[in-house]
Amino acid sequence: MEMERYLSQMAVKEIFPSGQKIIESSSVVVVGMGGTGSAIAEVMVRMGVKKITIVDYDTIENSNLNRQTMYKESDIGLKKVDVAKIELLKINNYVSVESVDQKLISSNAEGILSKADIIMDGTDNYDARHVLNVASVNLNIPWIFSAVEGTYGYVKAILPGKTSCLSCFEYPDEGEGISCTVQGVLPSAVRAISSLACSIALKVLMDKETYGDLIYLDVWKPMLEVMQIPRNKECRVCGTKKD
Amino acid sequence: MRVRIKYFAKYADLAGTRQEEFEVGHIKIGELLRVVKEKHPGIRENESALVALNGKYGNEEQTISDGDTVSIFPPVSGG
Ligand SMILES: [Zn+2]
Repeated sequence: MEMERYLSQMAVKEIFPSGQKIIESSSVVVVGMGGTGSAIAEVMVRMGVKKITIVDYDTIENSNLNRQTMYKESDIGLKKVDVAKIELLKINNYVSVESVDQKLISSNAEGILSKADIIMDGTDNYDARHVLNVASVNLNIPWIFSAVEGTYGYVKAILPGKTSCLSCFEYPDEGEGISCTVQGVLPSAVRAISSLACSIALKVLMDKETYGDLIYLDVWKPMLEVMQIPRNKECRVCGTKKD
Repeated sequence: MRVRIKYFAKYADLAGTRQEEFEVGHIKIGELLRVVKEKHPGIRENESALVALNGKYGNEEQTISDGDTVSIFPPVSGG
């Protein structure tokens, strides 16, 4: 029965023949269970990931329901990680789902992330991504950066020691940024960016992603652009200026 | 010499176009950005834009050449 579920994705030549085994033996941590994070977690579990950790300290609000498809009206007021865990287990009851009801900060990050094969970014601010980036480099665990607003967003694989990290280029490393409610975000852009993040994650797990290009995707124009970002030797997180 | 500027995301709205050409001397990317921001004040001086020179991440100290394409992307924080 298990095998039957995955036949259609196993037939994809990019996955065949070894990809499915890699997916099923990978441990994934998703930080942030909002629009991108909850969609990423769902895709990962549907594809066959058997070990997933979800991290968030927020509760579900009415304003989440237009794009955070994991949650329903009856979930308003409940913790995102609690509802997400139940929903993920409904998709596959044999998955180990660990829920962490905490804000990821530098003092707890390495403990929460250390068992991951890959870390997925479902956060919504610069501070949290900086914490993720530093922990990923220190632990030598790859992470997939994803961010979205309006009709567009970015995805980038960050493989410590191999590709540039988030601090190798001028991505802000502190602050909240502008919230989705103020800036606006199209639900379909959230889905597109989270889907792209899942594809790039698969490639990393299968050792098929080595460049770590920054991918820009706009679902409205529509438009896709890829920017090469070489490592910065003097990077404050992964280079010689590391503190 | 002529360089092409490509505007992405909200910068295309602020510039009112997705791309345009500038006639400039042999200047650095940082100076080019100042010229761009002067023409389009909506692209704020203090915002750290991501800049690519011919598809590769560039820094303000790089000098541009005739025919180069400089792409400007805004930082994005949501999720
Ligand atoms: Zn770096």
